[in-house]
Amino acid sequence: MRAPSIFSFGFAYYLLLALFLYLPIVLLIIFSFNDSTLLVFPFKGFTLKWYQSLSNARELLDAVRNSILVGLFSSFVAVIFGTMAALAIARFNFPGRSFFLAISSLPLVIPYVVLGVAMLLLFAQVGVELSLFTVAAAHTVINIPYVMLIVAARLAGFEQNLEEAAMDLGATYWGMLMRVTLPISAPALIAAFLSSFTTSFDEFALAFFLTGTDNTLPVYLYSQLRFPNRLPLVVTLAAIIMLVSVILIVFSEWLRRVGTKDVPRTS
Amino acid sequence: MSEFAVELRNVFKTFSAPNSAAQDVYAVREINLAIHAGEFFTLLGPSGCGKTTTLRLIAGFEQPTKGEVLIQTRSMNGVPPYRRPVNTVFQNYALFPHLTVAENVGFGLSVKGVSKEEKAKRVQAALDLVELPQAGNRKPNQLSGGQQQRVALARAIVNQPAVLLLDEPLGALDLKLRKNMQLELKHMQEMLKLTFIYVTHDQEEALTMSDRIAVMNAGNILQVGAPMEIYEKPATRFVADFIGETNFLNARVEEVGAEVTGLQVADARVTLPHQNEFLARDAQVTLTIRPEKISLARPETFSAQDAHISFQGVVRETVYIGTDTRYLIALPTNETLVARIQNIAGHRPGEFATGDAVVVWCEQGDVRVLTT
Repeated sequence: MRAPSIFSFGFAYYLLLALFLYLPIVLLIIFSFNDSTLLVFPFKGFTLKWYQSLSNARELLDAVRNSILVGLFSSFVAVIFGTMAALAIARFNFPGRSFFLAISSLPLVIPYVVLGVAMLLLFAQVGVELSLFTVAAAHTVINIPYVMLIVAARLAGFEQNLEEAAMDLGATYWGMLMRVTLPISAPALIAAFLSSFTTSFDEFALAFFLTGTDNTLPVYLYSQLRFPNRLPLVVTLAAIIMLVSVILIVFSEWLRRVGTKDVPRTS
Repeated sequence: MSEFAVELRNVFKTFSAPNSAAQDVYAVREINLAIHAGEFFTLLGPSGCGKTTTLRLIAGFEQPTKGEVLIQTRSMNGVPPYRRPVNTVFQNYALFPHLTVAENVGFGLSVKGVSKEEKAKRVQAALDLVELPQAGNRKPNQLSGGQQQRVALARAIVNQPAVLLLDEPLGALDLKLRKNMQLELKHMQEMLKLTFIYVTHDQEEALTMSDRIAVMNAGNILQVGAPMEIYEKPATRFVADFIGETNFLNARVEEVGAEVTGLQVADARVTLPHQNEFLARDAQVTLTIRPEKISLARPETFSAQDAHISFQGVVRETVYIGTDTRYLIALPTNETLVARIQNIAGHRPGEFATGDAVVVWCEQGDVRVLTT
């Protein structure tokens, strides 16, 4: 393949695309240092006061904490169920396997607004009060397919022989899982966990429908957009979250690849 | 009756077809084997003959559709691999990539809960045995193919299994290394007095290492015997053809006497002592003779002797291979025979030239009569 020239049409298109995607984000980050409550040019002055006042914004920090809790909980549960589903799909040939795979992947294609309304109705019927738990439940549902697909891909990549070898040497199915399958799949599991956490942390639609008195961060931010003098705080927080998300995703992707390198593939 | 280490009684294994319309596939059928303790027993056959399936049935990775697998006289039906006193060396080694060599070798001991000191001692002893004493802290992907294979062997042996199963373990090694490992494995087996069940498609490997060989094809066992018996007295045409080089001649039974059979072969009449078969008159059979058992002579100096059979023929081709000369002889019926004459005193290379008329002869005992 020829290396694309700097002046080619392809490169120009790529540059435009990158600008379109990331310019708003970069602007936000720039404005978080701006000494003004209005998001306009020209800049008034460089300041760190918005970052400083973050520590006093009680409601804002509570929302952050709630989002973290919901993210951790839903990711943890999703990893457990998603891994179990992945083991079933990748290692067993059972009747209804294709159907199971389709059903488990369904949340990927359902619009979150539709899912949110449906779950709201369900909880109302069953009499469950809206709270962070209902949000976490919804986030678990949408995260399970991601986990299942990431882990199943990993399991398919390494040989079944390793598991037979473990059983041959005396490990029961559970022993084989604990000593061979899960340790080798660990990078994929962690990557799936981080990916789920990021999805949950950023998720708005489901949280909007299913949150009770405690807000998650996206819902709180949305509610603050009406107050212009609060805007810089919001922008500052957004900048921080952006950075953390990027770091998490990069780390997660690196982890996902690390595991695939030293495992023998089926020849 | 001595105790058998492994027994297979009337074992069948079918795999269900992927769609209901197609027939179920017989991987192996009517397998009956009795393997003695301390024996080096080989399952030999071409790809797809069922030898690996048979091994997996003994290991416990498959359960028989019909019949019984017994290890040390205990039935293994329904018993999973982790409760059988066997260990397997896999064709692609199947070493755990996330563990060091020492942790790999000690895996079986860890699972059993052996103490750390005991485990370290036994692991080191196993590594010494396979001549990899320093490899303990390395990872499998840092080792060569031959070294990985030896780690796989150590990992199996350290558990002191009753039976060791080896699935074409030398297949991935180059020729020279393979030959060395064949001798090493044989020595190890004799020293440890373990029962080895070995799977291979390489007939030379099987002849070199085994106490007994079971030749398989298309899911069936064709013959079981010591290497010499398999080679000198093949039971079927397939066995004769698969092991070494063989000549085949068509023959018709003319007369069945008290001790001998008269056959019409290649325009000549031949008498052979009875072998194990009962032959009927006019039956069509196949004679097999190994090329190295055939001798050539000049028609003018040849004198037929008792207990020999001979044919007239013409030399079609001669090939010099260093240790032997290979002659392709055409018989009057246009069948051909290959003769291998060693280039030793009394037989100069090029003794017979293409086009020469020769007498092809061999001892009666070197001819086998096959009906299948």
